[in-house]
Amino acid sequence: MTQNNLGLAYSNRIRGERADNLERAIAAYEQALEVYTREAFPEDWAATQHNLADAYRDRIQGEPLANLELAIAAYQNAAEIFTRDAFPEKWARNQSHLAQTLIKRSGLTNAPEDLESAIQLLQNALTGATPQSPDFIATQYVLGNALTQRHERSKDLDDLRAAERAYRAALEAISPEHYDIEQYRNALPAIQSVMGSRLVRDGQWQQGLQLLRDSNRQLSQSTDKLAHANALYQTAKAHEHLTDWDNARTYYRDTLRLYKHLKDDPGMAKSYEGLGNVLATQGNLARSLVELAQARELYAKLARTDKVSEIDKLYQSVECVLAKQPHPDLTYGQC
Amino acid sequence: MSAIPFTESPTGFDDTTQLDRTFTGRENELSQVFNLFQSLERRRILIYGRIGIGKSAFLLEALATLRRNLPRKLFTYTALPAELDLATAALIALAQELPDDDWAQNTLHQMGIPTAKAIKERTTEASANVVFGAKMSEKSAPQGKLQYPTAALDTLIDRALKKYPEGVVIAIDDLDKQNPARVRQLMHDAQGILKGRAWFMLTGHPTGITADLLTTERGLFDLQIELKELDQKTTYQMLVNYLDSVRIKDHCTDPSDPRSVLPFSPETARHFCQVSQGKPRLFNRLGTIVLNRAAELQADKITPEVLQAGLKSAAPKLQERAALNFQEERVRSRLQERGSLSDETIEIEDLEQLGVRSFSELVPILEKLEEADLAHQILRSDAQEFAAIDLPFGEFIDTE
Repeated sequence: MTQNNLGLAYSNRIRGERADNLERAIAAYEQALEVYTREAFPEDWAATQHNLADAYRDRIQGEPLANLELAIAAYQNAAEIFTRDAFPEKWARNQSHLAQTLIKRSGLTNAPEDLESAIQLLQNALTGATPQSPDFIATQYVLGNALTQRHERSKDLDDLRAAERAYRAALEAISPEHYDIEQYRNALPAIQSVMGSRLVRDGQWQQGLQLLRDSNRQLSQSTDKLAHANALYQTAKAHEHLTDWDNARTYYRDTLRLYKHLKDDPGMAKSYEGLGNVLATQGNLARSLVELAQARELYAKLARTDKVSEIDKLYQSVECVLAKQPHPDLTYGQC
Repeated sequence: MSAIPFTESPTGFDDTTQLDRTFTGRENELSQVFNLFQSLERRRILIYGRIGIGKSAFLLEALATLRRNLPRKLFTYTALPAELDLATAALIALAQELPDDDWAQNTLHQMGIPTAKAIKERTTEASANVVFGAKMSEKSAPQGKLQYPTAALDTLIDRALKKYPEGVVIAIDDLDKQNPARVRQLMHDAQGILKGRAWFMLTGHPTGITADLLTTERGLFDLQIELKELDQKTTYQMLVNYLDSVRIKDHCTDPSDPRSVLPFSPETARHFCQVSQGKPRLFNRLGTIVLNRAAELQADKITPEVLQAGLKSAAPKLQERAALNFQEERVRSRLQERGSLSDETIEIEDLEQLGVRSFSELVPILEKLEEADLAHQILRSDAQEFAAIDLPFGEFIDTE
C-alpha cells in the first residue's frame, strides 16, 4: 500500500520536475505490483494498475506512443477487476481515463477508431458515474472535447450539439470553487463559436452570428486567450462565408494578432491563409501574396504538405491575375 | 440674420423650403437619379456614403424635385424606425400617403396608428403632404402588429398603382442606424418586396450593410450612388446658401460678393469650410457652435479670433454632447494621441491598454465617435482605419 501511495504522491507532486516525479511514481507502482498480485489483492492490484496507467498516460520521458500503449494495457488490466457490476464508480473512472488515453493516442496517430472508441467509453462511463460527482463532471468535459475533435473530421453538426450538451452538463454540476472552473466555463463559448460559424455556413446566419457574438463576448473576459483566438477565427470564417469581406478581414487580423502573441503556429498559418484569401477576393492582390507567403512558410514548418500545395495553387492564381494587371515596377512568374 | 441657419440633419419634408434653399452641389448625383426616372420601368436605387455626409438631405432633395416634376407618381419617404421591418415601415409610409383610401386607413387604424385625417385634425403641422417626408413620429409608431406585412404592402402597392399608374416610389432612409445583424435580416426578409412593383430608394453606410449589399446584391440595385465629401468651392457655396436662408433682407448668394458670407469674412468663411472637411453634418454642428460662441462674445463679425474661439470650443462641446463613458473616452483619447487607429497596425499592447483583445471590440466605440464627429473612418479597401477629427487648436492659416 505504501508503494502505491508513494506513487500517487509522486504523480501529484507539485514540487520538483514533473518528468522525474512521474518516473518515480512509475517505479513505485511497479514495486507495489510485486506485492499486490492479482490473485492475493485483486482490488489493490487493479487500483495500482489504474494509477500506473495514469502515470504512463502523463509520462513525459520515453516514446509517447509506447507510453500510451502501456497505459492502455494497464487500464485494461484494471478493468478486469473494476467491472461495472462490482465497482461501478471505479469502473466509470477507469473507463473515462482509458478514453482520455485513446483520445491522446488519436491525436498522435490521427486514427479515427481511437476517437470513436473513446466516445463510446465516455458515454458508457457516464451511465456508471455518480451524477454531479467530480468523475461525472470530468467525463462530461472530456466527452465534449472528444466530440469537438470528431466534428473536425466528421463536420457533423450533431457532434457539436452533443458536445455543447456535455459541456453544459459539466458546467451545471461544477462547483464555483473548482480549481479549473475557468477552463470548464470557456469550453461552452468555445464550442458555441464553432457551432455559430457552422450555422452561418449552413444558412442560419442570424442564429450563428448571435452565437459568435456571445462567445466572443464571454471569451474576451476570460484569461484563456487561445480559446478567444479560436472564437475570433470562427467569426472571421463566418463573415468570409457571408461575403462580408471587411469584417472577415478585421477578424482575421484580430485572430492573427492573438495567435502571434500566443506563438501558436497552426493558428497563425490559418489566419494568414484566411487573410490572404480575403485580400485577394477584395482585389488587394499584392497584399494577399504577402499573407499567403507567410501561411505557406508556416504550413511548411508544420509539415502540412496538403496545405502547402493548396496555398501554392492559390498563390499562383493570384500571381496570374496580378501579372495581367499593368504594373511597371514588378515582374511576376509565368502563368 | 433672423436665426442660426445650421441644423443637425434635415427633419423631413416639413422643411423642404429650408432644404431647397440650403441644399448645395451633388448635381451629377442628382442627374443620375433624375435620368433613371425617365424610364417607366420601376427601379431600385441605393444611396450610400459615410455617416454625416448628407444622404438624408440628398434623398429628400431628390424626392422633392421629383415630386414637383412627376405629379403622376406617388412619392413616400420614411426614416426606418427601430423595431420595424421594412415591409411594415413602407406600408405605413404608403398608407399615410393615401388618405382617401379606406383600406389603407383601416390598415393604419388596425395598427393603432392615427390615420391621416385624424392627424390633420389634431396637428397644425399637417398639410396636404401630411406625413410625406416626415420622420416617422411617435404617433406613427404601430401599437398593433400586422400578421402579414409583406402581403399587406403588396395589396397597398396595387391600390396605389391604380391611383398613380406611373409608379409608386418608396424611399427608406436611415437603414444603417440599426444593428447591422438586424439590417441584414431585414434586407433578407425584404428581398421579395424590393424586387416587387414599387420603386425603392434606400440609404446606407459604405462599411455596414451597404458593403454587403454592394458585394452580394449587385443585381438588386439599378443605381448605386456614393456620396463623398463636398469640395471646398461647393462647401463655400453651401455656407453662402445657409446664411442667406435666414437673412431677412440684403439677400446675396453670389460667392464672389463678400457680403454673401456675412457675418463671416471671406477669409474666415474659407477657413470654416476647410475645417468642416466637406462633411455637411460636421459643417452644421461646427456652424452652430461658432455662431453661438460669437453670440456669447457679443461679436457681430466672425473675425479670425472669433472663429478660433468658436473652433476651440468645438472639441469639448462635441465630446460633451457625445456623453462618452470611461471606455469610449479612453479610446477617443488614444485616437487623438495616435492620430489614427487601424486593424492592420494596432498592437496587442495597445488593445490591452484599452481593455480589449481585438480591434473588432473597438469598432462600435469608434463608430460612436464617428457619429459624434470625434472621429472619421478612412475608406480603404485593405483595412479598417479611423482617424481623429483634427479640430484646429493652433495658429490660424488662411488657405486661399
